[in-house]
Amino acid sequence: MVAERFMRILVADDDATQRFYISALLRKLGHEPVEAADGEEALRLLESSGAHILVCDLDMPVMDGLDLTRRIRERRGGHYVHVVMVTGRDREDDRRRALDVGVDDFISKPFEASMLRVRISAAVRLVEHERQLNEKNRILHEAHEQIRADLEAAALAQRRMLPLGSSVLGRCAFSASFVPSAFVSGDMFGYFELGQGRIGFYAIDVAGHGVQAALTSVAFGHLVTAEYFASKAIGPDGRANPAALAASLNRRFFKTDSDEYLTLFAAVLEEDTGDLSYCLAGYPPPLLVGGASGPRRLGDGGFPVGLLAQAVYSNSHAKVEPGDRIVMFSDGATEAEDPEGTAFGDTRLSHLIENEAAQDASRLPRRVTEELMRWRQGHSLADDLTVLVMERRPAS
Amino acid sequence: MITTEFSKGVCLVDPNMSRLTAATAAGFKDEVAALIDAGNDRLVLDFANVSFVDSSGLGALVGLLKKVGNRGEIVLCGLGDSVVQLFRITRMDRVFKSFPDRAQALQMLDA
Repeated sequence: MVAERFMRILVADDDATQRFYISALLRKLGHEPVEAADGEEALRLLESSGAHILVCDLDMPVMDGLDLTRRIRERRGGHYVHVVMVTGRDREDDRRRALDVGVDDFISKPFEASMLRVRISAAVRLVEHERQLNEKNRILHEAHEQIRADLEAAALAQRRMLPLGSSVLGRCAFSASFVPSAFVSGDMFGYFELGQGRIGFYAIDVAGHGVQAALTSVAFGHLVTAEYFASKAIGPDGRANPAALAASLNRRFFKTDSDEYLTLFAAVLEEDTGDLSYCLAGYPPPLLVGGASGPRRLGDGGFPVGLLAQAVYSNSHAKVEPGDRIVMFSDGATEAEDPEGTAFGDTRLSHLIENEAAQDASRLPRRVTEELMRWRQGHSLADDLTVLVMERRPAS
Repeated sequence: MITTEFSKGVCLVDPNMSRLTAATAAGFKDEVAALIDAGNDRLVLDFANVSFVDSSGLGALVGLLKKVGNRGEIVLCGLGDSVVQLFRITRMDRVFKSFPDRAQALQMLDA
């Protein structure tokens, strides 16, 4: 650090004797003076020399010390220049005007070497301080950029795990949309053929959002493969038992020292009969849409996964007729608020889904996100949003 | 910042926030946890002015319940519709005792 305390210092004075005197003193202090005979020359040299300290006379031809300081302060970008102005003794008016235009310090003529020395060392301290701050800023900025780039890469990796768009599994068609609230999200979903004419599907929402929730959701996505799902959600008796999957996941994700948990909807559909077995574990009840009666909520509640060691889970059953659809959505859908703070809510969501019943199921996820964006009036979502639609296709 | 009142060995907690969410849950939990650490193991959390609790808020509440464990009791009062609905969907209505207001919560803890 000691080496950097010696600086290039600009000396602006039209009086050659005075200029040489100041320069000689600065040299004695170990600094490197750069000389200018007027304000204009000083301004030019300021750029080319890279000096951070300026010692200048108030009265100079062409451009005086006040004008010079004003011009320096008007510069955009570049480093701060510490200005020490040399004035006559007892010139209060001069000093007030000088402070107004941005002069940092004064020294009165005639002055002794010791007086210049303390003024310069104060300036060097400030300049050094600024340099260190800039360096810290630069390091922080680089770290921030690195983290941002990492998060973007993580978000991309996470999106690649999600089966977005539409696809057909046996006699079922799935369509999904997903809008993360931040780079990464705590939502995850999946669907698989389980063999023996069965389709399994799930959606989860890890509590909270951000990196920790995202790591859990990705771990979940990797864990719950078709084989895993089938091994847990189909009992030894061959019957669908998604509650056993939830119980198994609860044991796996429960930790005594953590508040982290997730909500889950998991279901098994018999393709031939349309018999649906499902387990609701704190996830918003999905809507079954079909027939004349309007959307029907699947389930009314269940313990989340990983929250309580002693949680028990149960299966529920429904019939999914050909042409019926099941709409799953994370709580980001119903909890989305308009600018006045009114939540979109269950009723509006249910009506929207009902109104779209005659339309192609594959466009429903996008329709829901469009309506929510409209509800938000252009504000980005505060929570992650997943919409997953499963349609049992009519027999062809 | 939460505010507290004490009545017959029960600590009444007003969260002083309208929303217990990802933004506020950690601070709320830390403050109530400090009360528990200080030996207050019978608490009433008054949610009369809390209109919204999200999944992070729920996690904080369960975390506090786990912290008190068998040593004491945490009950809630004044739950609004949206919180009641969250509690029903997550079955937390079976985990937390809740009462319409402070007076009834205190009466129960007193009994």
